[in-house]
Amino acid sequence: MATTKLMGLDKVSGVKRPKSIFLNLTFIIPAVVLLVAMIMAIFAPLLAPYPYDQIALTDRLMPPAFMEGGSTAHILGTDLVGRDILSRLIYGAQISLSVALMVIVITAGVGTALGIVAGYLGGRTDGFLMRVTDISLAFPAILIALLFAATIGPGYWTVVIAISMLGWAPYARLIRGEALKLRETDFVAQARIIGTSPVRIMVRHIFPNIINPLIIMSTLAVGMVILTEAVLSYLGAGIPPPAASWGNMVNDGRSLLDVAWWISTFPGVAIGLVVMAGNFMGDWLRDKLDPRLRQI
Amino acid sequence: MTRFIIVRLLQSFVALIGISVLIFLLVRASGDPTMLYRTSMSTEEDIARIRANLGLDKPLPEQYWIFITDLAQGDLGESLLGQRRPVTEMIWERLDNSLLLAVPAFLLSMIVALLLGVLGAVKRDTWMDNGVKFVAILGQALPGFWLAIMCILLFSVYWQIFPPSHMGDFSHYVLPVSTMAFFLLPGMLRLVRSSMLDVLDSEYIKMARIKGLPERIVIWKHALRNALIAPLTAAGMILAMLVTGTVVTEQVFAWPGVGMLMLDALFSRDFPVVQGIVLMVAAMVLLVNLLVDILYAYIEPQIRYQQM
Repeated sequence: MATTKLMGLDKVSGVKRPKSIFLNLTFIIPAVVLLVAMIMAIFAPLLAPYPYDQIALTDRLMPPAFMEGGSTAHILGTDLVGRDILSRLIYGAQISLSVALMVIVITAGVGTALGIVAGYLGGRTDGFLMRVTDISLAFPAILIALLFAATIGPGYWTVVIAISMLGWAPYARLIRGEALKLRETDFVAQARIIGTSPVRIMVRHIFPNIINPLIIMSTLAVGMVILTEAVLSYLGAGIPPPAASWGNMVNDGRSLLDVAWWISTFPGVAIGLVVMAGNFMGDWLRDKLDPRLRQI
Repeated sequence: MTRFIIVRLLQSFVALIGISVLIFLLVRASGDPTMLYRTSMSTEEDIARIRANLGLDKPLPEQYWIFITDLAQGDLGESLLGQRRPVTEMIWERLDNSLLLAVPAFLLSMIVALLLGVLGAVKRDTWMDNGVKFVAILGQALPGFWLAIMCILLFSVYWQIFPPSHMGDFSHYVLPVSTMAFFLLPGMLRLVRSSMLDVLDSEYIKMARIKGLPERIVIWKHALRNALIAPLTAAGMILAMLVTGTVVTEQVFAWPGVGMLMLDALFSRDFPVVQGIVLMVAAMVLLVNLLVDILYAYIEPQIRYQQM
C-alpha cells in the first residue's frame, strides 16, 4: 500500500489496461486515421485525382458525388473556381502534417535542452528559465503569429516559426520536472562522484530517461499544432492561397455557405479527425508508457 | 510577501521589455522598416517623415529608446490609413464591442464548466462522467472557427433562426456567444473536474461527510469553494484562450471588435495598429498573471518561498 502510494500508482489504479494492443479500439482507430493522413501527405501527388490548384471554370461549385448534380469525377465536389475538394484535402494533409513535424522537432529540441539544463543545474539558471517558460505558457500564440504575419508576411516558415516561438514552453516545464527528479537518483549521483562532466551527465544519463515523456508530449502536441496552423491559415495569417491548407479551405467556403456547404465542411471534419486521433494516440501512449503523466 | 511582490513586479517588467525588444527587432529584421509604415499613397515626404519618426538614421539603441519612451507615454503610434488616428483611440472605441462578446461567453462557459465539471467529478466513471469527458474531447479536437461556421450553416442558412453576422439585437449575440463559450469550455471543464476530484479525495471533505452534512452542502459549498482555487490560478491560461477566441469569433461573425480591427489592419498592411494591439494585450496578459501569482501566494504561503 505504502509503496503504491509512493510511486503514485494509487492514482492510476482506475486505468483500464487493455489485454492486447490489437484488440484495443482506442489504439486502432486513431492509428488508422493517422496512418491514412500520413499516406495522404506523403503520396499526395500520386493519390490526388487532380492538382490542388487546377482551375476548371466549367465545373464550378459542383456538389459531392452523393448529392443530386454531383459526379464521380469530383467525389467531394468542387469550389468556387472548380478546384477538386478531395485533391485539395489530400494536399492539405501534406501541409498540416509537415508543419506539425517541423514545429515538434524544433520545440521538442529547444524545450528538452532548456528543461534538462534548468532541472539539472537548478539555482538561478532554473529560476530564470522557468520564469521565461511561465510567461511563454501564458502568452496567446495567435498574437505572436499575427505579428509575424504582419512583419515578415504570411507563409509556410512564418507559421512554423510563429508556432515554435512559444511551443517549446510546455516541453521545458515537463522535462525540467523529470530532470529534477532524475538528478536525485543514485545513478546520477554515482556518475557525479566518478567525475563525469555535467554535460555528459545531462546527455548520457538524464536524456535517455526522459524519452518516454518526450514521446508522449510530442504525440499530444500534434493536435495542438495542427489546430493552431488551421486557425492561422483560416484567418489569412498562415499558409497563403493557392496552396491548399485545411484552414484556408474552410475560409474559402465561408462566404458560400448558402450555395456550397461542402467547401467548408469537409476540411473541418479532416482537422477534427486528425486532431482527435493525435490526442487519443497521446493518451494511449501515456497510459502505456508513463501513467504518472496524466495531468499533461 | 512584500519581497515576493517586488520580485514578481520586476519580472513582469522585464518580460514586457523583452516583448518590446522582440517587436522592435522583428520590425527591423523584416527588411526596410519603412515598408511596414508606408502605403501605396505615401509620398517621398511621408517616407522621410516615417524615417525621422522611427529615427532610422540613428544607432539601434537610440532607435529603441525612441520606441520605448513613446510606449511608456501610452503612445502606440498612429494608423497609416484614413485620418491617421491614434492607435490607442482606435482600440478604445472597439474594446467595448469585444467585451460585449467575451464577457458573456466567458460567464456562460464558466457556469457550464462548473455544472458539468462537478457532475463529472461527483459521478466519477459513470456514463455521466463519460459524457462530460466526451464533450471535452470533442471541444478540444474540433476547430472553433469551423464549429462557428457550421452553426451559421445550420441556424442561419438552413433554419434561419439567428442572423449570421454583425452586431445588433439579442438574436445577434446567440451564435457568437455560444460558439465562443463552447471554444472555452474544454479547458475550463478539465480544470474544474480534475481539481474537484482532488478536493473530493481530501480529509476535510470526509470530515464534512462524517459530520453528517447533507451531500448537497458538502459538494456545492465545501468542495466547490476549494476546487475553485485551481481554475483561478489558471486565469492566465484562460485569458490567453479568451484572446484567441475573441479574434476568431469576431472574424467568423464580422463582429466589430478589437480582434476584427487587428485582422483588418493585417490585411490593409496597417502595421502600427497590429503592433499596438499586440503590445496592449501583452501588457494585459502580464498584468493578469502578476495578479494571479500574488493572489496565489496569498492563498498558499508555500509558493512564496518555493518560487523565489
